[in-house]
Amino acid sequence: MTGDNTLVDRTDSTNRLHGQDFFSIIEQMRERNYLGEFELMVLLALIQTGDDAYGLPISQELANHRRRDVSLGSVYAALDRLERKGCVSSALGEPTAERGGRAKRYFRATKAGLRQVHETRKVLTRLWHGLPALKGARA
Amino acid sequence: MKQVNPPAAATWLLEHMTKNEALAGDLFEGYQHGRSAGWYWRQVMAALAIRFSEGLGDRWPAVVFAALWSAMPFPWWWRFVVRREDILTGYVVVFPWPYSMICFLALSIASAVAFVWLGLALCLLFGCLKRTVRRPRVLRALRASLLIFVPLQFGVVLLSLSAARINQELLLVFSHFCFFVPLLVSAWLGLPAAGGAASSPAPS
Repeated sequence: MTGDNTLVDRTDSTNRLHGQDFFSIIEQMRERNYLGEFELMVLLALIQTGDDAYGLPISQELANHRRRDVSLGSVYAALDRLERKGCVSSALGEPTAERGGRAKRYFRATKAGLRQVHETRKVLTRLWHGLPALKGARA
Repeated sequence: MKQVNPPAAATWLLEHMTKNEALAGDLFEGYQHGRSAGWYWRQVMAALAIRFSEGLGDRWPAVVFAALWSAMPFPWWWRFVVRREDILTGYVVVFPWPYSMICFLALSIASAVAFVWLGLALCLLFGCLKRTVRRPRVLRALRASLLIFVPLQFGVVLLSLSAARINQELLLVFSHFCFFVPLLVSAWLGLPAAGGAASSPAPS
């Protein structure tokens, strides 16, 4: 991982951390590599939407499954994070009059993104084994 | 009857504060497909809140710096406000009115600007250790600090000189706030984002 290397490079022969490493550590803490709950949902909604997926259909797909309205801004923020993690790629389309002369931003799940989704599903399935049932809840 | 175009004020805010063309287009399309003006406003407000919180996360050093530097004691500036009589009778008053007042205001504001710029210089210098701070960013930060700070300081000094009896502690809190806001804005503009461009589209 690049972040780890940066941290190691700054340590001197006494293995002491320098002041700047404080900021590197904080940044590494922020740049998580695993998928958050909402990111996973957005990525799954993107995969379900298929080709020509852009913000509006992705958010509608997500809203249909969640059964409540979704903020488009939060969908775009999650897609941006997913793109930085290499799970999603995007491309700008042509501006259209239907959108007030603004272009669509098409998203597509990458191979790394698909791998990440499968990996997360395996981990979650293993974790869900032996989940105690809620009292009074129907199975 | 529903308007053909979405609320102009919300669109203006969205376009100027988020600079996300794709999001603006999606919201426009959603509105054209029957969504209400209330939905449009809610989406815009949520997008702005998300953009702001992401900005805070990416530029947290600017926030920390502004809070620390504005909380620091700055006796040589505060002296101008609290002990204004000493200064007025000391050397400014040697000038005839209104030059004495102009001189007092200029001295007060110049010393405060020097305090802010010293802090900003340290902040940007520290920022250079981590990332490249480019000249246009520095100039933008300096310009913003002047544009916001000078009117605010003008207000603080005038308040301190006003005949009305003002609570000194309240004035001190207000003056800290007047240091915090321009420092935050200028450091925010001067320092590059920690996590890269947060919301700008990156077409591939």
